[in-house]
Amino acid sequence: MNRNIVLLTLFLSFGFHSGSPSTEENSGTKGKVQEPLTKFSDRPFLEGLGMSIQLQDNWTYEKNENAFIFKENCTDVFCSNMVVRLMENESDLGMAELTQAFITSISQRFREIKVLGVTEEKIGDLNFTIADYKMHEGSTHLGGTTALTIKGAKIVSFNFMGENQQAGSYVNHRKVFFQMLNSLKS
Amino acid sequence: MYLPVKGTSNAKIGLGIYAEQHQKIHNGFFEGYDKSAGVDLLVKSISTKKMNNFPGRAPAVGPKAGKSKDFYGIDIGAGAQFILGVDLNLKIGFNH
Repeated sequence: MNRNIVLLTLFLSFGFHSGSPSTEENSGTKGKVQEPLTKFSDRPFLEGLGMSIQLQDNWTYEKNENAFIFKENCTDVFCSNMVVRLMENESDLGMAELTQAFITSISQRFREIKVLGVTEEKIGDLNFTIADYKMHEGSTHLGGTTALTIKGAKIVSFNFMGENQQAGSYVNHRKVFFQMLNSLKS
Repeated sequence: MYLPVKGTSNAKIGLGIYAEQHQKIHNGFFEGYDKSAGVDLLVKSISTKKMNNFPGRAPAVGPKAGKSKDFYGIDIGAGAQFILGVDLNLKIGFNH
């Protein structure tokens, strides 16, 4: 009995601390089960996307005319947040063109931005392009991840941003993003 | 092989961007995040337009989504739409 408890504790401890984000964590379809960073609760419906998403307990949700907005309740200088936007795919762009447009646009818009990588992921039934970047506003260092997909005639972008004050600290915020992304449900 | 991005003004973005990014990934920011498949297909050689001389940011580019493409075939309107999402991230995130 005691031995089982020790083994379980070791497993959970290893799962919680091991590794920075990997593609396995991104997709959520492979690899070991990890403890959520915090508990999930609410599941807002993303109107127009026909999907719902699960939030963590300390996150709030609102919708304005431009986007679905999710934000962590915090007292730090910068609170992690996610902006989901639905856009008409009027030019019938493919994923490669979308990615190209995104990288070009943010590189033009933000002088201090550094795009760190672009990957492809399948999450649920949707194919995503994932772009990671970092930037800073004054002395506040930030990390960002944008996940782009095409659903029907719409382009959907999930834009996440969190603090990166200590080297590599954004990695932990990014895990939260992928937990939410992996919770998308039709 | 393309040159790495230097700043954002008149930069070439191609395979070079990934080479440079990859070094940064292993510099502590995204350690372990190393999937590279498909990058050369996704981010092809493109030329960016010259930025205005803003201290931190340049203005958004292009008009309504999907209406115009520049010389290099980039959908400027879609780009502007994307920028709005990242702009909102910044606006919402700061506790001023």
